[in-house]
Amino acid sequence: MNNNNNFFDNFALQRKMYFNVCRITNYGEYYFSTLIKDSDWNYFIPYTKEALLDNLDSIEKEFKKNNRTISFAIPSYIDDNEKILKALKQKGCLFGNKEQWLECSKKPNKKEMKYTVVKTEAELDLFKYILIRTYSSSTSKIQPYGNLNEEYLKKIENLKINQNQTNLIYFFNNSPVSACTICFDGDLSAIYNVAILPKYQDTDLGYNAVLGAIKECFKSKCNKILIQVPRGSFFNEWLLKNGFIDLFYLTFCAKKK
Amino acid sequence: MIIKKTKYDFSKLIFIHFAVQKHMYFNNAICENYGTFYMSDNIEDSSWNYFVPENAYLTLRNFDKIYKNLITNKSKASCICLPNYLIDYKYIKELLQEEKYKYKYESKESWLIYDNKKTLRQAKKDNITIKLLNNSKLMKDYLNVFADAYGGEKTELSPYGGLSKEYINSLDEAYKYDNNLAFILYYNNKPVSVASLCLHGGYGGIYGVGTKQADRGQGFSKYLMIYLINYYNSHYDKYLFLQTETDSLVERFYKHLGFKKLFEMEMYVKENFNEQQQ
Repeated sequence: MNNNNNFFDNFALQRKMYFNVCRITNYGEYYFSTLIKDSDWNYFIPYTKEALLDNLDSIEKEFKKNNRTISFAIPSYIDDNEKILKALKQKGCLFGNKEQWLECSKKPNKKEMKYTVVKTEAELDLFKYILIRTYSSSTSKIQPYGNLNEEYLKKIENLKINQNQTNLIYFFNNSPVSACTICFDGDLSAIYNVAILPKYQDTDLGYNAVLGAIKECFKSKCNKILIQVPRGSFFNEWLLKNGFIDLFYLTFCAKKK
Repeated sequence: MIIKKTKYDFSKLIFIHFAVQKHMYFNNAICENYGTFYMSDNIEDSSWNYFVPENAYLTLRNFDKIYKNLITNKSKASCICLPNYLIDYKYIKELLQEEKYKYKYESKESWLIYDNKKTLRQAKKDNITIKLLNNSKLMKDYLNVFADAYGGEKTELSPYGGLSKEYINSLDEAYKYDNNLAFILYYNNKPVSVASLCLHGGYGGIYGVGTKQADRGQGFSKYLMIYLINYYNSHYDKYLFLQTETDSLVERFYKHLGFKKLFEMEMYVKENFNEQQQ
């Protein structure tokens, strides 16, 4: 059951950012967003293969009720994971990306880093600029999240300074390079919104913002830091080299509209 | 006396109350910028289906939306909980009583916490054993005591009165999860008291504290509570919390044990809600 807690923690950390609807049943968990319609933020996570296949009708109904396209996130630790995916394929669901969940409990060694914690409105504007500039550009090896739709960008425009979230900007030679957000909840934290400006996407320099975020998390006495990235990506490899460990991955699977 | 807001994040505490019980009573949370809807598929009553505002002015501005959302869900009670830490919550109170909405005050709950790390001294009592529920035989004992403790009429010692079958059924599922711990106190090998400790992120919620009606007044609940507090303190380092009817004998019992009141929450239920449904 501990892995299920990871999903709920992820919801709890983001309930004021992207996710805002959670529904727990005895066969699995629904996570919805009224803010973003796509399948990255509206999906069902089953507990077992049987739980999923026996309740497909209820799941379909729930998605309809919430005006969302039916979408699943299948955790890699579930028995018969491959069989589930095969069954869903037969039902017309298409496979999407694989998202790796990683955890860090080690302080980074790197000492010389210049990052700023967003505290003023001007810094917040710069932070939003980095996110919008990055996410509206095309994806790259270094920056796997790009070409995001207007809903996301609008959400970024509305970001406010919030006590449960810390936004960081990483500078190199006094120029802004990258940004990220840390969400805190007691001794748990998670890193989101990792954005590296296109100009710096040919090096892994931008990931230093993540190291800054880890340092900030340890300063706040967090003992568990979560992050989700595309499985097998350059970023995934980089995190593994920098103190993170793989937990499990989710395979996204959604029905074509 | 309500302690001043310091290190405690009150609205987070209500969310943790949901989080620890997501496999027991609650199972739906809808978080909006003006507040959160907490709902249950298993239990219909107002204790487990309500809206808690987080910002009074945003709630006032969005009230028609909130009202519609609660009313649309016809099978559930339409209930709004007003925590008294909310600045200007009195304006929501006034709005609730307007002719258009007609909400009626139902009850008041105190939210108490225990953040003392000292080990409490347990009174010496013979023939007592406490067991952690971990098999179906113990489950039978647990439900037996719970049904008796919460099955009677509403009295001073039992402010929640007779609970419906829905409650007891939903407990059956709940203890399959690692974060829900239930304890049973046996006196002369007979189960007499129960209490639950539900955990999330190191916070502990105490629920379902009860003693069989025939065995009350002998200090069994107190013994079990002290055991539970010491158990929590030896495993976790945040704080314990619970809710109980304001100004009841039970509230005094918890305060006597060292619990402090954080805030109160008033429950407003839509008048004639059940009649309107029919």
